[in-house]
Amino acid sequence: MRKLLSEKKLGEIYSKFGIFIILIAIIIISSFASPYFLTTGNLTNILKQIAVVAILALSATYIIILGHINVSYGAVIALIGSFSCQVMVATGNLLVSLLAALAMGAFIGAINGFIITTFEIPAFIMTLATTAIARGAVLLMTGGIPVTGMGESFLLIGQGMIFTNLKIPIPISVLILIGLTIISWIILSKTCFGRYVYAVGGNEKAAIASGIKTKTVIRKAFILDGVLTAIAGVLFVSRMNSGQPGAGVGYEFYAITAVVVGGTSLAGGVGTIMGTIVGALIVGIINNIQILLHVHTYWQQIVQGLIILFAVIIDILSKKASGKR
Amino acid sequence: MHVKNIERSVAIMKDVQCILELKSIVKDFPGVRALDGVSISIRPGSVHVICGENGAGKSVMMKIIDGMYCPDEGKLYFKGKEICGHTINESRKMGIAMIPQELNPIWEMTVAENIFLGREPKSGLFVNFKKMNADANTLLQQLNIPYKATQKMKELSIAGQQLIEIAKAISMSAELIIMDEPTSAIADHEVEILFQQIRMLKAKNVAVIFITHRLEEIFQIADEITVIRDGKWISHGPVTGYTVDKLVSHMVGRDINDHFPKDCTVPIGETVLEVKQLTQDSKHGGRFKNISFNLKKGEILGFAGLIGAGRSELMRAIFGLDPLTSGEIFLNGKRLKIRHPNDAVKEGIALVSEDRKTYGLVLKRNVHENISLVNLKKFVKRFFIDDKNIDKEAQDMKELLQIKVSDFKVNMGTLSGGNQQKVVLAKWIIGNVKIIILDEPTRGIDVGAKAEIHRLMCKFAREGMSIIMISSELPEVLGMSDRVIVMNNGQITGTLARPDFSQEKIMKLATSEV
Ligand SMILES: Nc1ncnc2c1ncn2[C@@H]1O[C@H](COP(=O)(O)OP(=O)(O)OP(=O)(O)O)[C@@H](O)[C@H]1O
Ligand SMILES: [Mg+2]
Repeated sequence: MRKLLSEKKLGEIYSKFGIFIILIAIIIISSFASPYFLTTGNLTNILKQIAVVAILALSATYIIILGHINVSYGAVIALIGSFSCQVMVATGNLLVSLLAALAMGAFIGAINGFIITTFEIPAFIMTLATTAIARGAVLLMTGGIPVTGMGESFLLIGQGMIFTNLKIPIPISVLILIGLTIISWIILSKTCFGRYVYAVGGNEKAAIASGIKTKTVIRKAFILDGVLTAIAGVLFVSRMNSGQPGAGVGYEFYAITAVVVGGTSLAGGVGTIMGTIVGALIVGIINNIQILLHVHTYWQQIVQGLIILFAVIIDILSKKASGKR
Repeated sequence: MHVKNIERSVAIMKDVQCILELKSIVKDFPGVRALDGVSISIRPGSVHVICGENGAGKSVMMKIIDGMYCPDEGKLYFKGKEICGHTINESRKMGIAMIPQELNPIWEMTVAENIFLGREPKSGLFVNFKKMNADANTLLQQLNIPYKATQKMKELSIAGQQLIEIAKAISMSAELIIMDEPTSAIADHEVEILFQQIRMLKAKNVAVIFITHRLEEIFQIADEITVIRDGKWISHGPVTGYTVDKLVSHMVGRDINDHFPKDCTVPIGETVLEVKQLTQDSKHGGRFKNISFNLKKGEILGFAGLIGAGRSELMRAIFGLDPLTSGEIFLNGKRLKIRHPNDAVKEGIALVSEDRKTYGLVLKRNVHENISLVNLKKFVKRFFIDDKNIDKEAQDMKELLQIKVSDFKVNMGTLSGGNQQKVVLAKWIIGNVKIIILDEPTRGIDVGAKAEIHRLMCKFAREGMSIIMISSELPEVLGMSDRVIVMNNGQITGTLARPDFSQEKIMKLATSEV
């Protein structure tokens, strides 16, 4: 009983004050661990580093609240990223290459959503298939050779800075992240679609019986997911300055970790955009501090695994705490 | 106090007559004190009925006895020994069984597996399915329950699930059985069988705690009554010391004089809804066939029948929740094609499901979101949801239906059963409904609010709405309806107009064949 009580406390504290405490604690610990951590240079760096994963995590938040999952982010950002590079090389027009990427993302999302709802295939299986198909497609498309030669303007998205005359210039990628975060927050908490997402994930049968077209909601969410993935994909290749067909491995894992750390339940129906952003920050800071402290990359991977494990255990404990008081 | 030490606790041999004693129990939840110093004593061989309004704290008290919640203050004594921090498993071992208000069956398992969950008969290492099924069938026969041991739980209606839960509790050979609203969805006939069982348990000196909102049941079965209100102990005594009026005034704190006040002066208008030859073939469930009836403006149309008669399934199919094989539905003479509840909602048809947990509410989300779910589009102002307006209408509903909730931001799952039911009603009537289908609308709702809901039904009828009502409570059907359609075995066996109403006629039709 004593043990159970302490578990209970942990869960309760976590569900009440959320992950903000954890974020602050990690920031404090990190600033003691490395004097370089709190410099503006490093902080902007962290934001730049998490931008791609955080955008994917925003996208994964919708899908996971719906009670589904998408495990194809890594392969799809490689595919869409390389595609946008090719379009850029061919047309030399940034806007065209951006629109092409968005269209491709929407298309992939639409296919995912359509097949999942029409044939009632688990999203996990569907997106596993998408992963394989996307990896194959990008190799076919590029012949396995990295796409280069997009020119200066293409780099702007991933590497450009804005407000360069100010003391702290802001990377364009971070600005995009902030913009998408606000939009996602508004969609999820202030529109009918957002409320429906919660309802469908919380109790699909009750949602249907309330007259909600749940399949349409799921399809729309996957299209949105595809579009956000496309933006992440363009950012990704623009940062690397090349469309690497084999890149992006493990990004779905980072994105899902950020979402789960942020308190979104894998069972569906519960979660917030704010939580996801804090989750992405936590994951980003832990990676950053390890790099600053020269932790071996093998260890970094192990830590990454432990984080998601820890987050899921906490999620289960906090559920227990609200069950038995 | 939080440390579990049943063994070490001093055996205080108090009133040995009592099997269970609760002393000044206090239980707080964020924002509400669910129990505020309640004490009761339960005697073996006696049926102790706990009465109180929705949200009075009855279920919380039962969950404390069962070991699901820990009280914040106060003590529990089981057979004279203090128990504290016991788990549900330990309760079962001590000899406490409970029929919870919110049923929690495992859908994919069979009836027998559900009944014997966690105590399966074994031969060696493996479950002895043959014995389990045989035992289950004997039990079901003994209780006159019309299901087979090998049926999947998901095939059963709410009433069926409730019967299985009763069978399960009875088969545990416990010394104390807690029954939290076991009769909320079952009809008189099944209630009578349950009461026979309870009397047999009494003869075996088993103690029974019984909760119900149906007053007539209380006077049939109770030996003792304890009334609680807003978590506080109000009164206790033998049933002979109570009358209906006294009981109600103790529960509500004021007098209520209502008994199904159907306002017969409401003019019945022309036909609004007409269905012709509705059939569901066996591929789609096969729950009804050749159903034709009409519903008129301002009419309350009752549907009566036994469990499994197909009433709920018929309504679900009309509403687009279940498949329909053939037949036609006309609304104001216009043929409707309803393929999804969305089509029905657009036409102003509402269905308040009997199964609030599965089809009524999203328990993980808050009251605010649930109450606005059906009519969310109505609350959109310049692209965005106007949450203030939702709260305003929710407040109106809260007052109209007397919903006990401290804050609309609390999770739906923390509301008491009756209050959840009120939110289900509220989420439909907040909108613009022309036809409302009510499947057990007052399931688990207390006397005061029940009267209010009946009054509302009359008001809606007066305003020109049409109502279909399914109820397992015959007096409710007879009291509220203008006409009653009786079903048996998926078919309509008769229609009665108000002057011809009688329990006998309905029971006869409910068991006759077409
Ligand atoms: N887990 C919980 N968290 C927060 N509040 C709760 C929780 N469980 C119950 N409550 C509150 O405690 C009060 C008593 O609830 P309880 O379920 O005991 O009512 P009840 O008497 O059984 O009512 P009903 O007749 O509707 O079943 C209610 O106000 C309810 O909202
Ligand atoms: Mg209750």
